[in-house]
Amino acid sequence: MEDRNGFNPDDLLDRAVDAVLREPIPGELPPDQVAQLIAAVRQAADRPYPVTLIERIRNMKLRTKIVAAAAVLIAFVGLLPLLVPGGGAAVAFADVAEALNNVHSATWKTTSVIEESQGSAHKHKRKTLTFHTVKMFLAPSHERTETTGGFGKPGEEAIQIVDGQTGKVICLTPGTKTAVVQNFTNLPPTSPIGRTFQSLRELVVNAQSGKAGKVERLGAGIIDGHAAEGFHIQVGAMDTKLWADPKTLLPIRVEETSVSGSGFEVSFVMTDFQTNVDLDKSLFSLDVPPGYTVPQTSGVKEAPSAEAPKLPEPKAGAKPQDHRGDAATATIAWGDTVKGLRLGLARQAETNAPAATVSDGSSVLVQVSLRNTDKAPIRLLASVHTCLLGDGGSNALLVSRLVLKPKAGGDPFFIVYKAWNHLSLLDKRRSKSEQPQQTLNGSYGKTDIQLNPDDAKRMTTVLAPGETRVAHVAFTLRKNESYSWQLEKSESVPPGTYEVTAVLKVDQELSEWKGELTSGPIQVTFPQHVGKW
Amino acid sequence: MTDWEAVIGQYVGIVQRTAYRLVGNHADAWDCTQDTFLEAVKVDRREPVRNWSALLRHLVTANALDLLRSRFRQRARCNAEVDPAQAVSREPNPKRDAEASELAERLRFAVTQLPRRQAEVFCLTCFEQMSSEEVAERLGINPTAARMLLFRARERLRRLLEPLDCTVARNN
Repeated sequence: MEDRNGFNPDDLLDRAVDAVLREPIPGELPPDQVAQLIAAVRQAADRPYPVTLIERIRNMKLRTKIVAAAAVLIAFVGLLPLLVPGGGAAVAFADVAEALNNVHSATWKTTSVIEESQGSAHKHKRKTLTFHTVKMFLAPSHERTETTGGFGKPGEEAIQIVDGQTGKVICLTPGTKTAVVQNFTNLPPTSPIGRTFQSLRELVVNAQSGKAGKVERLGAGIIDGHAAEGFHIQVGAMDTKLWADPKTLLPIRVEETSVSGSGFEVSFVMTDFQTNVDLDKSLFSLDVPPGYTVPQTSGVKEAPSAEAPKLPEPKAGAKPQDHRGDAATATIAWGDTVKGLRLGLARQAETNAPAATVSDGSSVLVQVSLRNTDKAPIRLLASVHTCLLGDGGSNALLVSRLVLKPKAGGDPFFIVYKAWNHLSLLDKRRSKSEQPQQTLNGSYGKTDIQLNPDDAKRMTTVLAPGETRVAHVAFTLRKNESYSWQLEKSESVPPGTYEVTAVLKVDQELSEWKGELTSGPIQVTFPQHVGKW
Repeated sequence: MTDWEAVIGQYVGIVQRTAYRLVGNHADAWDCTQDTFLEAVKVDRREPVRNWSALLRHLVTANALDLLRSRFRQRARCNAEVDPAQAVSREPNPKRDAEASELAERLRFAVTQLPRRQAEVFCLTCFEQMSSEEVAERLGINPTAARMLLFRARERLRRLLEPLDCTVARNN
């Protein structure tokens, strides 16, 4: 006996299929859940996607495949002398590390591209900032950076000279003949300020020793017209490709790419290396050159370490600092200490960017510091989201909100993080795509994330006694997007002067430190609306 | 650039229902749904998508089958003797007919015992009501091969369901 559509009630398999098909299926998904999915998918779609060689080959037409295969064969034959022993033997990564360690001076060019995704996926546009810099390194710790393009006026040149050991920085603007001097005391060893070459060395040495990151050989190739040996170094969200000269073992080209969760993709390409060259020491002078004026000299006083001589503590609720257009200075306004921690806020200080970067109409750019004033290390669960603040991963801290109080009076404005998809300090939910390390314990429509203690440990940040964690944050407002910084109860912040404070709230169950920190206030002036589209 | 909001708006219901039909609970179905759209992003980057419905139904079926397989494997490790009817934790539904329910659960278990391609062809044809031509196009095989895979899948499933058939016959 056979029913319509081939259904045979005597066939157990047909009955089983029918049973599955007849089972009730729940109705529509709730709109908020669909919105969450859209946000996660958009985020995934916005993420840069490295197309693998296999995928490229798979997508090639047959004719292209044949041509590519022929090209590979020709290239292989051409490179054979480099690959066979004695004719350019494979370079050992350890040798590259050692050669880098022996460099006492160097010059190179860097092209930095910062791309920021703006708008929703279907109205997507990218804002790109490109910097061209010439860099010089003089052992043990001096670095000079000559920059054109980027945040400044078109064609405006800026020079930054840093002594990484003393923390002294001088920023020169030849166009306006102005100099800004800054002193960073107890600069953390991981600080990137003026340590490009040193950072490259550390990256290579740490990867070579297996301390941080992993290394893959890229093999031999022709880079910028030179035979080269390539290495791929991956540390967290940062990808580095280093091409070394097989003879000198020194870099020919270095490419670095990192992506932040807040939508920034930063890439650097370092080329034109010249090493162990004679560099005039005057190029690294930290004295103000004749003819230059100094608008203001200030110091970013980092917390004294346990061994260092005691410096005066910054006063809580310090007087607001005015950060107008011309003052490329940064002083941290510290808030009250709560259980050994205090939060500080300053204008971004170390980018040698003009002060207009306090806001570009959609972002408020500030420097946030977190200091352990206690005698013991403090461990706190910060955020599992990478690169929200700080250098990503376990070092990421999520500022809960930025409060902007109009000097002219009236209600304050709040910039808050509206992310649904992060285990942030405000919200426990995040997307499936970001759940590799936690257990889900939830039911339909409401998902609670439970971290087991081991996972939580990986997601904590530890501040040593006296340590200050400094991070640059772009509070970038996005229109109509549920997973970004947003203004609370207002559409935009009108032009004017504001007293700005940051708030960091940690209330996760698994965090050893819990509490709410408020920074001291800084004063900023917005020449235009912030967040008005 | 793909308008993901429109794609999700149009197909999220189908994807969620397909997932639910196989995995049998909201939480797992939601996981499969998310995975499916995230995989669709990758596919969309590789190649232009001509038939979203077929692509998404294929992806969600494959995801759901993976989830079912791992669930049964996990249960098998925990229990020496697996009772497939117990292995899928269905949400309570007092109206469900006991035999139909057991049949459905046995079939889900049996499908996980099939080779991957056979399982996909079977699910897409029998649960998603896709034609052999549609399935073949989606899987990159010819329709005859799709029909052959379906035939083998059905044969094997019948064998896998046989012990239950005996039990039902004995009870009757």
